[in-house]
Amino acid sequence: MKEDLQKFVNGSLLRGSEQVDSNESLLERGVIDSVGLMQLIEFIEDRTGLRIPDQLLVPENFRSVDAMDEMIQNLRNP
Amino acid sequence: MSFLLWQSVRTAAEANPDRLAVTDGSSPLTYAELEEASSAVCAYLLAAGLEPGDRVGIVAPKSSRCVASLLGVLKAGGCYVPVDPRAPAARVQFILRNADVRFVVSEDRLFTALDLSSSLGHPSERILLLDDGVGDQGTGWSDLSSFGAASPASRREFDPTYIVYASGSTGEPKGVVISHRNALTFVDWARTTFHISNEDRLSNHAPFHFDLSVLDLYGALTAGASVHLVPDSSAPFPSTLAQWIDETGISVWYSVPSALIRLLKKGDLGRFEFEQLRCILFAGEVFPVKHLRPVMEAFPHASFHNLYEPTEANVCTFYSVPRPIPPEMESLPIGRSCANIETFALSEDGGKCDEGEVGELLVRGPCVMQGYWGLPERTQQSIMQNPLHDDYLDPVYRTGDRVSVLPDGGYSFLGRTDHMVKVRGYRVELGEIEVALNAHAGVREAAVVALPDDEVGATLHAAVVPAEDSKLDSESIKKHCLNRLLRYAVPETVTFISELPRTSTGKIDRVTLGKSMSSDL
Repeated sequence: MKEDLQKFVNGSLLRGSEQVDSNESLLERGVIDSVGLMQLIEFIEDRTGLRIPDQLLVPENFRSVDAMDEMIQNLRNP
Repeated sequence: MSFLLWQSVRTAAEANPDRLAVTDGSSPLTYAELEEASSAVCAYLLAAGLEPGDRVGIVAPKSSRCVASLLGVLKAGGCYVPVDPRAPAARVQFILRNADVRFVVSEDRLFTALDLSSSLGHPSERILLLDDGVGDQGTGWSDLSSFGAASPASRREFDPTYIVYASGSTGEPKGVVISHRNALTFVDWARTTFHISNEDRLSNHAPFHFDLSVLDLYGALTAGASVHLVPDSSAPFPSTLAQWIDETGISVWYSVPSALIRLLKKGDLGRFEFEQLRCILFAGEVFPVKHLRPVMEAFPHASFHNLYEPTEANVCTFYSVPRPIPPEMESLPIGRSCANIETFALSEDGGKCDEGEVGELLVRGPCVMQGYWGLPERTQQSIMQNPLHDDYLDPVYRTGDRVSVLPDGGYSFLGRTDHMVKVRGYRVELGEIEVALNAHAGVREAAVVALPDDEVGATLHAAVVPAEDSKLDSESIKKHCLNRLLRYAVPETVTFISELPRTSTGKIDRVTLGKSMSSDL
């Protein structure tokens, strides 16, 4: 999943040939505005079949690919 | 007397020197500090050679320093041009070149990432970087004190204060020039109408390149109130934002409806009372009544006001929402004219519409922009002599919005006379997206339709006819658009078809296309 997520961020959210590492801050890159966040939620929910509860929609959980992956792991193994 | 925007701020500052003026969370400025910082920016700009009327590009995330810089530009007699720092580099460069900016205010990392040095070719003394320690590509914030003090430049009320760029149907954004008089007409009206005082705490949700921010910044700063900038990094997160509104004790909130709908749906609002929040203003798009009702319940202490805001005439009509909304009300009126402004609807035969009739909304008064920057012909299409008389010079702005006249003299918004749509409150010209799509080598032709969506205003869908022998996939088309357009203007879906439907006159048949696209979803 983490690889898919990274591919999605690099391929569909970042412009041109920009790339991020999995621990790099997406917030500082300006990737996550309201449209970017919505696309990420849709992607994660589609791929995993999970539903991300509203209270988990906080900057800490979306600040990097690693952080999103950790959130997904925690949702899978509560 | 105040007839320049910065003069009104100075008057408020003199009466409230120790009160909080602006904060971005990490660096709060009192009114005295804001005055001092903006005067330092003014002294720097004058020392670096700013001439009256020079444009200054603002390419930075929002911050207290950025607000001080806006005021500094005005004190120096300049005109600022706020640009979305998240836009594609080519778009940022286009706007800065189009406005012929002589100076740029930015941040070290952004200035490099957007390649503004080589693309603009300005000498480094004309670059102000808001960071502390910067290299040699510009003047750093901490160097400002060395420029001493300078007297603000003398300007007239008709001189430009800022230029905001909006989507243009030709594929290039166009700059709306707003004068001191335009801005103050709106700011003074808002401060009086919503009783903004030095006890108030205003939020600033909209980015500075979106003119909703003008009310937040100057509504607060001309009243001695404080303006609290929502950081770009927490604005998209509804639950974080809801907590911030409550903890900060925001008393006046202004945003697009879709931001309030997101707060309602995903913000877990039941946790908070929002006792301080007394006034909620919204503009930029239609607020569906079915969403507004529960939003009003979630903010029980606030009055709600619908502001109608074509950028070219600031806010020119408004409607105060009754609480509760009467059960029979299905759509929200845009209301009646603001102070010192006249509006009327013009029918297709050129007469003034009476109650119940439908026409294009026209606006006259001190709110009407100076024009589109560098586009005299485009300006003439939008601003014309009042068609109801020819006694004297009386310019009116054609909004391009179709309205019906209500019994109370107010208006109900019905739609556009052209192909502009609103997505999340932002103006999007379908033509601009089509220009971007047609720039792809593998595209023979393309059209974009907007389908109504009651949470974000509209969703965008592209129909693409591939060129012969080209193999396209929707992801690569979207990426191509993302490289040229703002994120909200990138089509959500891309459908490949063999031919675009045409009307009998050979134009793209958007009605048929829209129907077939909506049935495919």
